[in-house]
Amino acid sequence: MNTRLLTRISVLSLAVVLSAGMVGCKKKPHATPGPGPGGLEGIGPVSVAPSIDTTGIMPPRSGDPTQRNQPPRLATDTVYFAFDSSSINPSERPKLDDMAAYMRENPNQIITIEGHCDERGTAEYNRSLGERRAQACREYLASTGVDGNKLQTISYGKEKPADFGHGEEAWAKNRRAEFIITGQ
Amino acid sequence: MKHRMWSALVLCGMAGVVLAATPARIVISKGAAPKINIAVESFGGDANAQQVAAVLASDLVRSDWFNYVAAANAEVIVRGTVSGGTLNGAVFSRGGSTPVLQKVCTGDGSNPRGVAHQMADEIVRNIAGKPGIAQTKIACVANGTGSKEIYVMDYDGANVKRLSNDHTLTVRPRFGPNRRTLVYTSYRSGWPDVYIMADIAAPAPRRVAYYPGLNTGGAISPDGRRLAVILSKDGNPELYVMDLASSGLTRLSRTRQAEASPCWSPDGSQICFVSDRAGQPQLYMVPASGGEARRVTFGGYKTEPDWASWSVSAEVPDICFSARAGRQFQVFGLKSRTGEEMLLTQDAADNEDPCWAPDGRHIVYARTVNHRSSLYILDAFTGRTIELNPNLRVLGDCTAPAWSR
Repeated sequence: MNTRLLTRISVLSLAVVLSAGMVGCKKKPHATPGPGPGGLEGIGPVSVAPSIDTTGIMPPRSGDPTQRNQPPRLATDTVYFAFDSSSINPSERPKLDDMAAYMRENPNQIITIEGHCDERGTAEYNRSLGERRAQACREYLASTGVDGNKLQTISYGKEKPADFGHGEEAWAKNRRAEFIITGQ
Repeated sequence: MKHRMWSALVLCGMAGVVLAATPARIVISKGAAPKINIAVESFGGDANAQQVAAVLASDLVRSDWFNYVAAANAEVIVRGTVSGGTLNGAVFSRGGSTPVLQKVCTGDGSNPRGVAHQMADEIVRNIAGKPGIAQTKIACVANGTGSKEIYVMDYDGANVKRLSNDHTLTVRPRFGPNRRTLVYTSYRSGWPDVYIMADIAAPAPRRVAYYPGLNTGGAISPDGRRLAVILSKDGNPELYVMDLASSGLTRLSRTRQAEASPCWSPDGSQICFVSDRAGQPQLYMVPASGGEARRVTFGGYKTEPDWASWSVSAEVPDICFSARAGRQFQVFGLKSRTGEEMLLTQDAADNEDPCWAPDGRHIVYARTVNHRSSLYILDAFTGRTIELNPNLRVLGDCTAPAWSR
């Protein structure tokens, strides 16, 4: 299967999920079906500069991210980030390319991307920054043709450091995204 | 009571390190509001009488509108009788024989502190002319059980109660417009979701936001009908407002960067929040019904805004936030009308997560030294800080405090 075909499939399946969302996906916390004041179509006048539309709507949740299957995580694929940044460093791209290859070989696996921060920021901002890091990995993987519906994200902010130290060496290990298999 | 003694000191040297790019003047308060000299005489009545008197005296001191003095030096004297859980309180001016204030504070006797708090708020309201805080609550996150759980206590640290039993990360409590409703984030489902407890006296959490991805930062509007919340369901953390009756969402941001920590203006028309769309995190404001977001802080790393529900004085800022100052975080104030920023804490600690009391004067925040955190109270009028209650250390590290409105 070539990459272009994969991309088409993922775009198609994204469209399926989108339309499924419109008719009342079970993960919506309310029963209001279809577009309406609360639906995706019902966004009021919103203009925030600088305005770039976000990519990929998230798939419905699948599996319990705290119950990790074997292997518990793909440790070699931990992606590291610069301070206060969610940009994918060029040095980290080969890890994501390996991840993409793994996902192509295991197309039914659902991967949860965990976003983490070092301890220096404040808690809630770090929770959003950790989510940005996980989403940046998701966007990168989706751009290589991986099915975005198999990729979900969770942010722990600074709550789960990989290294409990308090210096730059520890911080560098904690600004990261990890990949865990949460379902088939 | 007049309070015109506020004076300000421009902090040239230290401000330069942190906020060189900041156009706003950075000041720290060194003033003192004048206080009324008050005495509480020994109460008559049953076995609880002296405890009630002691708690009332403590409340009057904590209000910061009074000096507690010997009766001979007092401008105002409080007398009272306690019986069957009820306090009959009366306030006299010096030398006066007719009370200037009388109040019957009723309780069932199970919480003698409660009647003292009622009387204290009456005195603060009627003698000082300010909103009282003695009957308010403070919620926080503590990790003593090995998990992060949410606790609630009286504003003075008494009557601590654990509200959550989630054995995971339970974080970011914020009170609704009454003193009973609490919104918070818990990972109890495995994912970060937003829950509301309609009444903390009978904890029954309802999960209100559990979309794919991140759900956090819940803040209930002053009218109690809307929830500002951060969701990443559309592929990126963004600010939304949820109508709590219909669960309908209005999206208020559209960026490729991170949004966080919304709070409401007292009239419910504006939301102040954090975004790093311009690089480092800064504070922005956006109309709660949608529209153009306006950046309100410049330079540095600025997060965790909270907007006072009542403004005590034009000289006291109405928004507090935490910002990096050198190697540490300190609590800052922002006057929403002028954009003027003020440094409010300045010590060798990380001072984070500030939240206003409903008197618009006091701020509770988490102070971290050597990786141990405890709750402190700041008087934004004078800059004075005190530990909320050293007994709280048995809960572990206390962080993310919220003050009821």
